[in-house]
Amino acid sequence: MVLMLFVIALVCSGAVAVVYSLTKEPIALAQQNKAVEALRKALPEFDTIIDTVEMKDCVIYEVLKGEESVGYAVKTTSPNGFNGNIELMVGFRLDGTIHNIEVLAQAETPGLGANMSSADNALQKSFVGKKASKMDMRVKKDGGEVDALTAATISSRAYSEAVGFAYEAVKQYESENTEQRGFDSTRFVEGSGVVANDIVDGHLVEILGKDDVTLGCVIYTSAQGYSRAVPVSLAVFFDTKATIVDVAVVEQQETPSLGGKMTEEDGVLLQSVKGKDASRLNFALRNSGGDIDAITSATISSRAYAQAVEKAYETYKKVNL
Amino acid sequence: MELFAIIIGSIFANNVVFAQSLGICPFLGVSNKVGTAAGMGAAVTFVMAISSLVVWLLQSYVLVPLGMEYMQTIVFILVIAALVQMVEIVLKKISPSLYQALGIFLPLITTNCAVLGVALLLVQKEYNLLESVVYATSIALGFALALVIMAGIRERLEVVGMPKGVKGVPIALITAGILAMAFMGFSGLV
Amino acid sequence: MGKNLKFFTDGILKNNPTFVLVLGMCPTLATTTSAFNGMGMGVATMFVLVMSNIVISLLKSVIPDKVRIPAFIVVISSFVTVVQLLMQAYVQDLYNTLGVFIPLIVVNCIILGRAEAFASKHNVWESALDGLGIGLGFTLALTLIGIVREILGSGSIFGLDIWQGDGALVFILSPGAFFVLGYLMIVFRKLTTKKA
Repeated sequence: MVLMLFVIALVCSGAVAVVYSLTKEPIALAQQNKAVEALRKALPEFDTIIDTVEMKDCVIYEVLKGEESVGYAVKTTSPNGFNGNIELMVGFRLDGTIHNIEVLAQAETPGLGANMSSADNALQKSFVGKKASKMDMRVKKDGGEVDALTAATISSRAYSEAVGFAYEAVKQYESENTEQRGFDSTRFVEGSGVVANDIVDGHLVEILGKDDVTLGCVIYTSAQGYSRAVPVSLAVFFDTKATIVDVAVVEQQETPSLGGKMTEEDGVLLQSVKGKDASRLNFALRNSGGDIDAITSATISSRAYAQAVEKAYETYKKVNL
Repeated sequence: MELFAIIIGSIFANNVVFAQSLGICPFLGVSNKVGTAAGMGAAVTFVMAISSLVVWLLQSYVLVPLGMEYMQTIVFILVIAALVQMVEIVLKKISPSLYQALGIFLPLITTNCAVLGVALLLVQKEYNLLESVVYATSIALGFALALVIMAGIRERLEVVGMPKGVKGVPIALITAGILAMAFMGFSGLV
Repeated sequence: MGKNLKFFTDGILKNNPTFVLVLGMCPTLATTTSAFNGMGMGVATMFVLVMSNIVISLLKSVIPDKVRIPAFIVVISSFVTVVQLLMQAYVQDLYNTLGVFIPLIVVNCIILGRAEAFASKHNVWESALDGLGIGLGFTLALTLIGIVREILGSGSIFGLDIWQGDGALVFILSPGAFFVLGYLMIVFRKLTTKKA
């Protein structure tokens, strides 16, 4: 009797396992199609997806248009919906602005929470076009600046939470993948600390402070030098008045006896930018009419260094200190 | 605080019967008398608390490590059915008086979709063990509350004259609709 | 054939699972927020019902009487899992909307009820017809409730707008489900008693 029951259970679970293995691929495919479709809506026009990374329970897609990076889209989930999970695709432009948000899955109450899927709803509008770093991602009822959907506070909270997760994931991804790579910016000033960080134009920016005074910011940038494999990566420390206080080379693989000299404390490259007012600096090399002294026989490396500092200054102009 | 929100939310704002439409069959079937309604409510609370514990352990330590989440439905319903049977046997041995009170309701619980529903939901919501048990217990208390309120009203309705076509289930449904509207008022709480 | 046809039509009218037998109320109330959702739920349930009826009537001689209920549950839950997987693969949006109510088909008393009361006593052909009839009755009832709620609640049928703007939201929310089902049941009773 029990044996018979066991046989039935065995046969049934066997059959289910077969169906599972048969539908595994169509399910993955359907999910992927949906994700790509959502990607197209969440981001500005792009043509290739170059990278898919899992980060903090989110999936980050980095996309290119031609050779240029367009931004990131993040697949993110909040388990706290009114009726189960809410899954979103959040598109971030390079400067950290939320381009668009697409709902991948939700089972909220039709007519209330489910309106998060409809076009131009209040919830979506509260995020789109805003800088993720500059907004309080809580619903207005909780003191934030997100307009909740009418009579659907729980759904709206979960939605906002999911967007928040997405932004956290992007920050993490950026800091792991940008030029920083374990560099500790507080070494510029003894006793200082990083009081805030942000992604501006795709570069990590760290605000340094000491004893409640903002000292300035460190901006991480990189440019292609002589080495094809490893770009020249710098950490440029500006004070609050756009003066380049110091520059540190975070990573480089230039020819040791030539371009590699850029790491030296008294190198010509560092000397030509250190202590200068960035707004008055011409970042071209001296032989091209600019203000930067190149390392002898290492023009390409020197140019990369100068370009990276220039990028940092361009980014600096967009940072509010 | 988190737990408190779960408790209030599950009993009132997301009341299992009125807001989530789960456990409707016993809600309509066993809400004729306040006494039986309370008994059913107690039995469901008892089973749900235990089943949430078992289901959580099973999900975390068996199904997920084996990569067999797709077998969830089959495993959960069998576990719940077996559990109800076991509770019945144990109760009979340990506390005959409790068995007397709850016994007749126990076999009905296997097909109470609220029990399986809660098991599936607490996995979906990714609650930890404590939260799962608190969530399941509060949901069950919400169910008991709905059942008792409904029974109180239906006892009165018994003696009211009404057209034959309306008597029984239809009027119960309409009453439940009005109660559900009243419970919507709680949704501002969380 | 006349008798067989009766098995089929009984399920739609005389034994209508929703309006007469009052079974499977949870999905009936929860998933009928629109005509399409109601129909989707009905079809998913019908599939499980027909398949489990067929398998159980095939197995009725080998299943020992004492463990028949657990055996039925195993068969039914397997088909439900199959439906879950198929829906995830081919109609993912609907699957997401119906959410937890797809796995909950397992505890829909209609299915276990038909297995116990019909399929375990009749042959395969009759059981399949019975499953089809009851399943169709259930689907029709759910679609009807879905239509009424969608018209009143969002002013459309199957997603096609009848009028611009919003409807009475309460009909899409759970109180509306109770009201619509209650009143439809009264109407159904009125119509069927007249016939008799």
